[in-house]
Amino acid sequence: MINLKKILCPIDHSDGSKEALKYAVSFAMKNEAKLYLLHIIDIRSFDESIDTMAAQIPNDETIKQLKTKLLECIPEEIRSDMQLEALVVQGIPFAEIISIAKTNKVDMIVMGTHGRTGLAHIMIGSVSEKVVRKAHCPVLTVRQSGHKFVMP
Amino acid sequence: MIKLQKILCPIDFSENSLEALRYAAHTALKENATVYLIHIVDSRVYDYGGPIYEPVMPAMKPVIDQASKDQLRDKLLEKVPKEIEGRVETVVSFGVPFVEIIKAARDYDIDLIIMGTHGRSGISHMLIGSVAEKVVRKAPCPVLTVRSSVR
Repeated sequence: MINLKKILCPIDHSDGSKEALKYAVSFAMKNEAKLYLLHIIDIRSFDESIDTMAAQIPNDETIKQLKTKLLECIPEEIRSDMQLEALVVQGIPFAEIISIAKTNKVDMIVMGTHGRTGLAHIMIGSVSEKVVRKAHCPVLTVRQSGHKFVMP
Repeated sequence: MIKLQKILCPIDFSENSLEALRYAAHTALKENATVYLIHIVDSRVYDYGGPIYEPVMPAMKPVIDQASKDQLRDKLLEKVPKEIEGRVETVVSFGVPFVEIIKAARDYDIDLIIMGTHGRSGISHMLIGSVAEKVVRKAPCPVLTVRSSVR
């Protein structure tokens, strides 16, 4: 019997991750599952020098803000109907997604196929591919509408 | 709220693909959706009894006859969990698996693909390991990849 009681949705606030969140919410509501919203602060973006690193390690206040921002991704009218938990961690995105999925015994991960791009996030394109390959649980990958594959 | 009406589930009869089918059945019940089961006869490994090294031409016509197609359909239907009987369509096609899966997703206007991360292995199916990866990258719709619990 399939049991979907805990769903993890990594969010980097890109359009791709917001599209994935719609699916995560839908699956969570239909299965009455708890939804974990996860934001990862990529430590690789902060390694220019010791000084900048020290300056950019987020304090508790920042983490609290990031958690609020995560919860605000869920439309207000359904927020109270759902069992939600916001998680903010530092690390390498794919590794954190996999380890948090495991420690929280998550039944399914829902994520976008394309996260943020741009200089600061140039390495993050293949996160979902690594997660699909390495996660212990099923992974739902959602493509942002508009990213269409053209048959050769 | 997301509405899923059509779910595509590629089946190669591996344990992993049957695990994916259990997820497809679960989701179909929640969503009141139809499950499209597709089995693809891989044109790259299909041995039709002719010379083994005969080049496979791009224009090669499907060499599976209606009888074996029907047989494969029956085999697909045998695997259908009881709770979704009656809301299943079966498709048997001939070609390169990931291409056929994506084509079917588009032709049938599929809302979600549910498939195993590892299909069959062994000499005759050696090439099929990374199908899921290609489908994830190229599918027109979301893809749920399922790992079988033994892995």
